[in-house]
Amino acid sequence: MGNARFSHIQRGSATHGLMIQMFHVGKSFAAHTPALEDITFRVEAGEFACLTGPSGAGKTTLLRLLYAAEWPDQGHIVVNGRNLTRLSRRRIPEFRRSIGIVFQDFKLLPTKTAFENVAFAQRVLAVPERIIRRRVAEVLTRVGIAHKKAALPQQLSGGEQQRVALARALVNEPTLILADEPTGNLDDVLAQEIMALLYEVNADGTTIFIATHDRKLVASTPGPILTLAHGHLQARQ
Amino acid sequence: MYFLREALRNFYRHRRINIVAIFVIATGMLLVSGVALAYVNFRNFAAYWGSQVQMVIYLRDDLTAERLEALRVALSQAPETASLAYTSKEQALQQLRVRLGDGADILEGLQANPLPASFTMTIRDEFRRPDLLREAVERYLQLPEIEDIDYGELWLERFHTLVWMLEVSVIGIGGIMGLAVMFIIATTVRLALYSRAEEIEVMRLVGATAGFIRMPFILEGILQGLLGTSLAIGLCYGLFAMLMTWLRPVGELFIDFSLCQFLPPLAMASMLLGGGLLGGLGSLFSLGRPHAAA
Repeated sequence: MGNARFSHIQRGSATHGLMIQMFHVGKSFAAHTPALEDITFRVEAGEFACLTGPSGAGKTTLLRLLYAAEWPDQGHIVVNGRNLTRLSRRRIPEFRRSIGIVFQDFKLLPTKTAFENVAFAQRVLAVPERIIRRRVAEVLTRVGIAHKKAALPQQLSGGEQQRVALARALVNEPTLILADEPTGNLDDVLAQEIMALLYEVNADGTTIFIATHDRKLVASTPGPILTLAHGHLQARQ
Repeated sequence: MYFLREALRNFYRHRRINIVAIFVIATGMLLVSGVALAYVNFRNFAAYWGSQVQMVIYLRDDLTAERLEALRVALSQAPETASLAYTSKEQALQQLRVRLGDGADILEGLQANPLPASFTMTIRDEFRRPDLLREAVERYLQLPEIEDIDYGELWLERFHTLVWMLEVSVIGIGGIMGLAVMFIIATTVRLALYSRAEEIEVMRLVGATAGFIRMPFILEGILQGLLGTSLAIGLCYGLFAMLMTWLRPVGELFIDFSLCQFLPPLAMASMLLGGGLLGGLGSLFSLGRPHAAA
């Protein structure tokens, strides 16, 4: 029953290796000041890709385009088998449930416990409570925060909150995780721990697309590195 | 079940803002209850005064017992008749004597009884309209047995106009108040939701549908509406009971307090339903389209 409900999440695997594709994408928030201009790249399924560049380069805007929080002015975007430029607003929730998103400021529901925050991502899929309890416990254990499952976000440290956010992103077993500066609010040690978790998830076959301006993290990235500057894609290494 | 549990949890977690919302709703609904209470009691008094409307049908003196009986049967079967009472010439004189009291001496010199026999007819609710009564009177006056009819035409017309004016005023004031209350409730619910904008944004980002996000908020709004309206009805009852206690000793000489009543159960149920609906709709409209942004 549970597997049938999640069947649509696996659609990314039907794209034969392509997970993200941007094709001549442009985005402006004000006239004559483009946030992104003529962005073209692709990320294959299973890759650990890193988007880097200085603050204000357009990293967050690019990521918001990838989870359909913004629409491009020009070009096409395909993510996990869906053409986002043609995605109707009604289909956005379904699309977002097929991917995992991690934010710099964690974006946890402040009135829910760690367990409830992770469970929420399953509840929106109408997963039965019995399965939710088992699955959330598994994923909290995996990110090493099971002992804090009853804590509210404000009772957790930054690193612990990011683990919960990562557990929420992982709980529905997405084929793609988008992470916007996931270590931006953490010290070096915690940042390394979160990155280690992301590497581990990637090793299991999940595509990771991470935006960061942290040069040390970029240097340790195993996959392609995309560099943005002033809204232009400078290089793909 | 999940939505209800979430609504109750959220209600408890945001209890401060919810209490403020409940009090605002209660204040608005108290005004509506007051208008409804005034309307209900006015209707009671209007119905009572209306029931006093009666027609006195004066008869010719030369009627035989058979013709009198035939007329009695015809009048008692008329559609307007609620009840019919016969007063003979002798009874009429006796009643006048009682009414005159000490001045009854002036009747002593009378050679013959000048008062006519009459039927007193009380009128059924649906015929207590000046136009319908006028029509009935004209019909009865065609009968040769009837001399004259008195039904307080002028009083009835004035009373009818007064009832109409008061009903229009109450409905008008009630309507304006209802709209104002709706606006106040929607604004309060909207303010309560602003404090939770971040929570709603996170729900969107996790992929919750508009319906999934809205449902607990709508249930919470309904709960606010129900509690606010219950509080308003309770306060209104308290004020009504206090007013009755204070006014009864002074006002009993002028009005019949047994006619005063609190809101009937159907009115209270309608208000609760309306309050719940207002709270729910307030939440729904304040949330707008959860996927319009972010």
